[in-house]
Amino acid sequence: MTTWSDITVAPGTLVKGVWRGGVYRIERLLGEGANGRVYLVRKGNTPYALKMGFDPLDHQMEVNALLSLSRQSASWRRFFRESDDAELDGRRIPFFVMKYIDGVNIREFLKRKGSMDWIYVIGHNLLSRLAELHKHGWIYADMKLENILVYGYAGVELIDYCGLTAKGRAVKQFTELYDRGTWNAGDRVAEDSYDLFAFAVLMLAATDQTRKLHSFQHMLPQNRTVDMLLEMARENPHTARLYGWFKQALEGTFVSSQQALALWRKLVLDRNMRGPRDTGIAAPWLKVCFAASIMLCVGTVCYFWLA
Amino acid sequence: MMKQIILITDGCSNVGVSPVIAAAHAKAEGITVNVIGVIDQGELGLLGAEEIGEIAGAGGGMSRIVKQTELTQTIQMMTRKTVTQTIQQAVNKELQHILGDGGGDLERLPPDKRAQIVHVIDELSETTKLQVALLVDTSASMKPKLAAVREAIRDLLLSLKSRAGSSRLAVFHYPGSIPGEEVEMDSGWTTELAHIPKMFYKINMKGTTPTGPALLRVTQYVAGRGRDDGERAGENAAPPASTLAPYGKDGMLSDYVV
Ligand SMILES: Nc1ncnc2c1ncn2[C@@H]1O[C@H](COP(=O)(O)OP(=O)(O)O)[C@@H](O)[C@H]1O
Ligand SMILES: [Mg+2]
Repeated sequence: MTTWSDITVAPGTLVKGVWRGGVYRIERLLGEGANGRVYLVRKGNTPYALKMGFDPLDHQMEVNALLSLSRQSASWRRFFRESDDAELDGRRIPFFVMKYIDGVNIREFLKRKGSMDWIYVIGHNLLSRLAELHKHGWIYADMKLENILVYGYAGVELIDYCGLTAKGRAVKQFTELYDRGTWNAGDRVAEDSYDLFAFAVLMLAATDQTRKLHSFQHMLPQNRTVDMLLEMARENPHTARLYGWFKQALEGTFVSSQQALALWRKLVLDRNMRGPRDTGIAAPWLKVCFAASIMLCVGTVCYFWLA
Repeated sequence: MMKQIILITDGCSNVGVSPVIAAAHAKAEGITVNVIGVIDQGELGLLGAEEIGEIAGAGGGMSRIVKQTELTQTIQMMTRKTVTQTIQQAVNKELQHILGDGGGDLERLPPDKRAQIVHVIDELSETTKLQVALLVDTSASMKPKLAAVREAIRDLLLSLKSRAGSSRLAVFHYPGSIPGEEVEMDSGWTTELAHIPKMFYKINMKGTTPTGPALLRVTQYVAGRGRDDGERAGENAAPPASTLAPYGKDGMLSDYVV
């Protein structure tokens, strides 16, 4: 198999499609995973993300997934642009072009915003996206921090479609920490509940400030149980208020992602709005506001008390 | 029916027929042999590494040297890659037939055709019947790694069970616990391994590592048993190149493309 991982594609390089002739100017490397490298590129003034695949077969499977989705849904038609081959250093490298998402992973997003309260709306948006995918007969499978970008006011986008698996088939690609099979909580058949489990772990991973989840990674899978995750969900104040939801997702009792989405919305809108404001990871300048709001708050309490 | 043997070892064989010859026999029977060398901290030793590479070479499979924590992932990856590669090779052959020399090379196909062909490979990879035999070296030095091996077996079975095509696993270890037995079967073809936790406890700690003889015995088992296991008669009589016989004499592409 031709592997080109040793080739570096310098900024300014022009990537020209052999078959369709599209030309893209490389701006910088955005990231790399097991399947390929993603570059920020420009065609004229428009930015795109261009992924070069290490393995032509695996790469084409991802392209096929995106092609199917684009046929089924307008939002993926806007996400996926085209696929082609490039000639670089005399080697043929398959690539595809997608929408550039100017975002960061969920953990980073929460850190920058300075409030964990954002997690509920991120979760809502991500669940909606998953439900849409499920509606078209697909399971995302490889749900993890690295494969989801959050931008603007909690907009989310799934960016890596290597794991996309038709419902009823065996999950193609997964990451152990998020995989229910590794947690002794079910098989690897692609169904809504597979993604919902991974989604629950993702929410724990995003809000975990004790590095507990991280420590589980070094534990032999035969010793891992869902109870450990449930305990985490209960101990973490940000997930505890959605404990009922986590229990169902981790135990695989939701019948569909629609049902999971409905419960999430209900719990989040009922409880979240009434809870105390989270400022646990506040940026320094926010602390000032926080201090001010505490004073106001104290003032209010005193007022009532005196009344 | 696609057949694989995955050999898990941490050193060199030292008795009996060469494992490289045994692997060549397996390949002649249409069985792919993959090899994983498991190391602790140190090295496998030059000799061991070389032998592992050669066994895989003769067996038409791949070899990897990994730490025990990577074992589960490596077995997953190897099993999956072997399936897709075997199918890809067979598809390529058919394409060469249709499109002429070099026609089967994925990179040379125009985008639309390529998408179609890969769709077929994907589809067949999921639905092909699959048999995987694990052959585990349980000589003394492997003892601390056996927990990781058990976990990898559990994990592989989970993935196999989730496939659409019927898939079965068999497990062997060597040397056998009875003196003189080069290999012992822990489980014949199965889809359930209730007793994985108890696997490899009664092992022989004698010094020999009869990798070759053990591999030959497992080859016999894998080559022989397919037939009386509900497979179509005559299927195994086909030459190794067409281990994909269930897809018909007209070739596997006929149902999908062209
Ligand atoms: N559309 C995109 N917009 C912005 N960044 C992206 C985009 N796609 C991928 N990336 C970045 O590149 C990294 C690797 O891409 P990914 O598709 O996940 O590769 P792999 O399949 O090898 O894991 C991602 O983690 C992300 O940081
Ligand atoms: Mg990725």
